[in-house]
Amino acid sequence: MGVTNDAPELLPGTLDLLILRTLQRGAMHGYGIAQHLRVTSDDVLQVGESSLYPALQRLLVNGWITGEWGLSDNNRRARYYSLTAAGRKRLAVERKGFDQMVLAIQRVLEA
Amino acid sequence: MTYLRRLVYWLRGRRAAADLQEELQFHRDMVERDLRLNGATRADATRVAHRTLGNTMLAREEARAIWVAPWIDAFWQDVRHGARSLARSPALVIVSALSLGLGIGLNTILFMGISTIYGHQPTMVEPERVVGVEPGYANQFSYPDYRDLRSSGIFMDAAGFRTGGLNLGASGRLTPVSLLVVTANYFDMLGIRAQIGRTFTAAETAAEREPRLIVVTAAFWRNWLRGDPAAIGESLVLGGEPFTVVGVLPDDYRAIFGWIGPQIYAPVSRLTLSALDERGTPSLSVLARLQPNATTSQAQAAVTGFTASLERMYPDRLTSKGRSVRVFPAQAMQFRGAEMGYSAARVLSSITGGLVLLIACVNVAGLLMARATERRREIAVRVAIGAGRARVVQSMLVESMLLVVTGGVIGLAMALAINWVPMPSEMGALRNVMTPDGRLVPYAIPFVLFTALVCGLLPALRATRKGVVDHVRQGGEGVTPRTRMRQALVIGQLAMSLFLVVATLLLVRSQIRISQIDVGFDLDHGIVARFGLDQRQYLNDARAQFAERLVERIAQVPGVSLASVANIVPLGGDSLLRSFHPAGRTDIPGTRPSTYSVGSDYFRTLGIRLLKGREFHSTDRMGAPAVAIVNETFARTYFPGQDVIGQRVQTADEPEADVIGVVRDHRIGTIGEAPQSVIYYAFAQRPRTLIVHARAASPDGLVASVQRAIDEIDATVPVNVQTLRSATSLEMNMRRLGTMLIGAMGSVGLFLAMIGLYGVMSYVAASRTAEVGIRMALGASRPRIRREMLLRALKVVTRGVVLGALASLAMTPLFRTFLAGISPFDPVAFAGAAILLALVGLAASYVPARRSSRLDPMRALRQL
Repeated sequence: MGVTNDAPELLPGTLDLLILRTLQRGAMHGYGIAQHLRVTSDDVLQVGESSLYPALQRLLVNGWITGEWGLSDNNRRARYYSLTAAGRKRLAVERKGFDQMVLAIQRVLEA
Repeated sequence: MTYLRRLVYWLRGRRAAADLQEELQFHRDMVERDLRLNGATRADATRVAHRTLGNTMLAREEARAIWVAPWIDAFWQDVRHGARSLARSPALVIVSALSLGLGIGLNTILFMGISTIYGHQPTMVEPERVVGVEPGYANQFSYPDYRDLRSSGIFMDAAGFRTGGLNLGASGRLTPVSLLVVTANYFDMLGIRAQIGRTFTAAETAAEREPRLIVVTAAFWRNWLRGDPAAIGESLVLGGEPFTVVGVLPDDYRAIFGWIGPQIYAPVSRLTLSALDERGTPSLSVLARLQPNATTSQAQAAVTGFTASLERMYPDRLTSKGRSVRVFPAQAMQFRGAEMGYSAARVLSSITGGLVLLIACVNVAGLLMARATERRREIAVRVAIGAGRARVVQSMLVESMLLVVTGGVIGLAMALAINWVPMPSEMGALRNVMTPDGRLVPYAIPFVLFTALVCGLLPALRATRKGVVDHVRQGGEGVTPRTRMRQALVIGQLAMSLFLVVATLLLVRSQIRISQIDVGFDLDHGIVARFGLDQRQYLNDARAQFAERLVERIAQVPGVSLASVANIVPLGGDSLLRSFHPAGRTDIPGTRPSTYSVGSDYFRTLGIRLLKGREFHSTDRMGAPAVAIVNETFARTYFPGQDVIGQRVQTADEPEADVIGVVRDHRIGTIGEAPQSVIYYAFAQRPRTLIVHARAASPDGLVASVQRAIDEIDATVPVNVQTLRSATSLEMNMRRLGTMLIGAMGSVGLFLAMIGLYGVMSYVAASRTAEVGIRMALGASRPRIRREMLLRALKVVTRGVVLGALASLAMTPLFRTFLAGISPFDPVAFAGAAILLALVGLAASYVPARRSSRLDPMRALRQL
């Protein structure tokens, strides 16, 4: 019953990392995050609601982001998420971990 | 922190879900908006919308899983579902809850009582280093031996104690109090401190100095010294001597001798221990503290050597009867002398309680199994759509847990209600100590869990086993070996119930007979005065004279025609047994005679017929030739065909006496007793416990006058005056209590058997619905179906009754003594029990039979 991912072969936990990094640039609502991921990755990373929102809830429960209701640009009510201080720390940690992982994989592939 | 947040989300439940819903809606709308902006067609938009919907639902599920641990969710769901389902079968709930409540409540109470008695920890410092010591020649040491043991160095220290009783009071009516006589170092060795004042110091309470100090328990201090802290230094008169109170023990102090503790502690001295200097008289139970590195076995070996050397030094008075020295943990001290009894009682009650619970569990399990069979379609469907066996088992377990918890609540309520149940006084003390309060809950929980598992697991597992889907499709099961086993179980239950019902009926009938029986003496015209003389009052000669004065004075009370003394009240619950052999004849087999001391005119006072010879006179006093009166059974047994008058008789402890009279037999111990041989000695020659009997035409109104007459002679002795009929009522009450208890057990047994039968019949009915449906479709009438089921039930009941009857015939002779005038094979009792059981059995099977017959054949067929 884990969190399923739409994106191809995403390492587990990477989605969290991506969301945190996205929110580092500023507060965003859920759709905005999904859009940003899709656009920035050239349509490779297409995250659906069934992965995105559970991930957001998880991050909320762990206290790495906070959510606040506000008005979107078309005057609809939407929930905007932003990083907390703990979230920033978490981002750094996850980033480091991810880099290490990628390096290790590369080494194996080129050995 | 995470958990806190989780908790908050769980509590905000709906709110959070609504929020998420709104968010997802927003997301979907944005997706749609973008699609339209990019010029997507209608079809595309709809397709995307549908895909999004699926994602939406999944999103909500996953989010929920993050908020609330899934198992809590599932659990709560099961609880709601189970509660709804149970609510639809109220009969099942009531019956199961009651029988489970019975089992759980009974076991909780028993467990509480047993742990109160066995968990009793006497107050002391480092209890694991303290042991009880018994010499080989007795349970107790004599005081000089104890002193030698103490100075022998085997133990770090040794203290002795002795239980006793003295009358308390300086003026007015005296009151008996329980006493523990202890050596000076008792409190020091055990590390016990007083809450007010102090305990004894070794110096001031050396036995030679005859110290007049006492330490009292907190309860005594509250009852008798008004709980006044300034009561230290007050003087109390015990056994006629003044003693000063020096200390009060703490409220949580627990005595060495179990939960019935003494009220006063006095130091050992000649005042409190008359055999102080006699080396040959065992008088003190001894506790000792082991040396720092010694073990119990080392100590035991050392004490064995010690006692052996004592025997060598003082050969003429110590006879070790081959028993060895015993050194044991101090906590076991309270059970000494009655170990077998305690263990037997504990084992017996645990087994009984366990059996009752087990029977109740089996019954409920049966009922649940029947229910599972009825719902097998529903279960099969759930399993088929992928609920997974574990999940279905879990939900059925939750349902049975609900039942069991309900039963547990009822059981706890029962256990609490025990406070209001009237009980004989000895048990009452235990009941007060077993304060049913919050502590009950921890006792009850293991029983509840165990019951839930037993009741719920088996039916759940059976109902969901592999292939249940196919099984259902094939139309269910008929009578399987499993059913046979349950039938056998029910037959066993019915047999047990029959035995209990027979026993009850026998006892009840004998109760009725008792009021018509001839006890051999006049119950309705007697007054009895029992005296509580303690060890220091009116000894020997003085007692005989005191008795004489009492008899003289009471005989003068208007309305009293005769008065005499004795050391018993027939049927008053206090008979004694002694060994005996007639002078020169030691080989008589069979019953051993009882011996009693009675005064002049005793038999006339009680209306017992004198067959030959004469009664005791005032001339039969101390110093005159020893005389005795015997009853007719004695004369028949030991001197058959001869004239017993003038013969000499002798018991193990008395000198020879001449027989001067023969009286008719009368009941002494219990009403149902077999005739026994009795020798009566003259009270003046052999004074014992003092009880005064008086004869009056209307005794009820004279109790007060007799009391006043006694007060004229000595107003201080504790005395209890009542009519003879009420003094003998204890025996009656014990009977009544016994009958009620057996009756209660019989009813419980019957109730459980009824449930068992109902369960089996329901199960059989449920598993044969298809068959019944076919038969009804083919034209069998409803009454016919019903009759068949009832007949089937009757077969089971008959087997149970026959088995029970055989068992009863074997067992009822065992309690012949309780059955006065009724044969243990009384046909009325047996017939009555059989009829009752048959009726109960039919009633229990009626509902399933009716249900079977009222099936709609079409629905039953559709289950095929």
